[in-house]
Amino acid sequence: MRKIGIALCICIICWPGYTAEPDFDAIFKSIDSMSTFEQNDFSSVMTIVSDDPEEGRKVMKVNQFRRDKDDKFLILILEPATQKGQGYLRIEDNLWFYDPESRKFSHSSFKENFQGTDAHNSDFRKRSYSRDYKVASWEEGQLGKYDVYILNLEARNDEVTYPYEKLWVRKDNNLVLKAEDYSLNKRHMRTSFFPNYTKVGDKYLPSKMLFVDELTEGRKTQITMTNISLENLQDQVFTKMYVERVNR
Amino acid sequence: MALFRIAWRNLKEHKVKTLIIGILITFGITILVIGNSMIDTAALGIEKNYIDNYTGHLIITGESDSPLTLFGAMSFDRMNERLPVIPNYFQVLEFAKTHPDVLAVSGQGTGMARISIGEEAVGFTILFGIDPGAYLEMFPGNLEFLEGGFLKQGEEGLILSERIASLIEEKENIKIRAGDHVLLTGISAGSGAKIRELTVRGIFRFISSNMQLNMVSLIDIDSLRSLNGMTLGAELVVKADDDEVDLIEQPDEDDMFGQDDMINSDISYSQTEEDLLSILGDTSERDKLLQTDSGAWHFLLLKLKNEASIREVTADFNRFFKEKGILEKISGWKSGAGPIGEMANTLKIIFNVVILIIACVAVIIIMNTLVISINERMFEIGTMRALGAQKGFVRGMIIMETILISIVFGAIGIMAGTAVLGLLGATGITAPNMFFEVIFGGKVFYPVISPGTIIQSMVVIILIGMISSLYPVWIALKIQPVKAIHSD
Repeated sequence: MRKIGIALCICIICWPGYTAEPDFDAIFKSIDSMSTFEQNDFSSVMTIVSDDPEEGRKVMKVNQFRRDKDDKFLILILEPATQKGQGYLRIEDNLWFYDPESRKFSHSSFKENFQGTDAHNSDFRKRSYSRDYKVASWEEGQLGKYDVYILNLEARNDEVTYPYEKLWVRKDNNLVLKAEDYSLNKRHMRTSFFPNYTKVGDKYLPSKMLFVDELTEGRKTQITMTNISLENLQDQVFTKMYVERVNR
Repeated sequence: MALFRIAWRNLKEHKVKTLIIGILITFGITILVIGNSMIDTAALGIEKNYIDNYTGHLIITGESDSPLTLFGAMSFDRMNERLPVIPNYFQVLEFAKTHPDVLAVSGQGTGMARISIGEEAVGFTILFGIDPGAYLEMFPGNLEFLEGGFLKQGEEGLILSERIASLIEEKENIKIRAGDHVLLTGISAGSGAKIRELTVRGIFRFISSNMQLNMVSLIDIDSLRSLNGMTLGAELVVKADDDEVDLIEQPDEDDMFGQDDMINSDISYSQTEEDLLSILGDTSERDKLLQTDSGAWHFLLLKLKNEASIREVTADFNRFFKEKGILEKISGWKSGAGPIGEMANTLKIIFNVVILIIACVAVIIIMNTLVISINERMFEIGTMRALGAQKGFVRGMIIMETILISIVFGAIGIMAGTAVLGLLGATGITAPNMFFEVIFGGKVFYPVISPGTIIQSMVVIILIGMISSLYPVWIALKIQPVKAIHSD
């Protein structure tokens, strides 16, 4: 009986097309560790270019600062000049928007679009696939030149912007290449592409991203990241006072 | 006359059948008269209400592909779009003010904002940005104040809708009063987010309102412009480098993931404390660009001296736009009123489709009853034919019968409908909920008989009579006199 069992196992494993299930926990941990900065702060300049069939092209340049270990970030708008100095400051679960014209802060939501682009405020905070998603199904595939795992994910909580996500993850180094976001009724809402990464220390950071709105044809946003740094920042950067001070 | 006498005699002889058909016609026409009169009254009520209180007779807007209403773009996927401003506003305003048929003009802007007390968001409101003087002149007496009062000329502030104030009180347990300060965060995606701190000058309600208008608060136009980014720098264009737009211009998956190496080398960048403090550089240009554009308005509303001149005034304005090469649009009140303006029309279409279905059923029933009647009178018709009655005489006799039934019972239906409407008009119908308040154009509805409905009912009656008699006539004309006499 035992021999039959062993033989069956060998048969299943050697059956053409059979692939052992990857270690999703390890993949998620690898993705999370590459995009989170528990040991260092992180800063970069992002150029956000948004195309809209009605509104035309909008270009925005922002400086982002992140301190993931304390759940903090600050985004300061550098361009256009009319929005220069506006900022989004996150401290733990609070997200404030600052308008230098009125010199006032008001609470914002992670689920809101960032300044009318296809990016969400939540895209700028620390992401955790291990915490937020589980794998519902998976398959192997090819994306361009790269062998990938295609993972169908379901949200574990209601804090995420999208309850369903489909991920294309490179097999050799666990970099996320593409993601499709779905609503609760499985409507395809957004597709994201991550075709370029920059290695800083032991981290791989997506230096170019493309977000395509699947509801409005022609609406898409490219984010390009430069001036990337993992140097620790001063504590004052993550305060309302700093946001007000740079605007004086 | 002979035809009429014979038809009348036949109807009297077949009392039961005549009565069945008659009741059916009476009932149908009564419903038609009551239903259409009520809908016409409601449509007139909504029209008068919107023209007198919110839209005026005509609305001038900038050019747009999507329908524009005073509440913003109405299609869901375009809710976030920036509304176009009226180009050459002052030129158009001057033309409007000097037009002999124009009684009053008022510019208006539209926006949406999140309301915060301190930093906490407590609700949302639609905003109508107005010039207080022009607004009061255009819509005198359309507001009722529960607290505080209207904006003074040149004063900044918010006149908060009573409904929104009570929603905030219910949900957040915060009572907003006149004199309080609130933060408004403009959520116009076209120009990014903006915050303004404003004093609540008053809490109001539109005297004749509906669920859409209940969500509207009034704000001075300059604050609205600021929230909407209608500033001197609104059209400022920022250029991006080629490598910052490569994906967006050619989003091809094979190109994106066709390269051998997608990972850039290890680079790092550092910022000093001084860098961090001077990160924004010079902000003086920003302050200049953020000055509001005094000519930026989304709508110019026109009230006319005489409603009958709408067509001529529209043509005058279109001629003016063409002569001056201005890309603007002028349209009637309905385009600005949004879906509620169209509601009465939609209801009328639905109601008339239902009536049409009922009419088809009625035609079939009447036709069947007439066919039975003709079969019973086969001997009589055969004899008439044998005595020399022509086909035209038989045809005329049957058509006369059906038209006689239709007219007599149709008239009874019209009278019954008029009586019911008279009763309802005297007592009034109280709207049971907000939905009916919208349809009724107020809390109590007083329907009146519509002359158009009477004419429409008469046409329907005659059509039913004519169509119902087609098949019975065909059967009657097929009767062979000899066979008919032998069949009895």
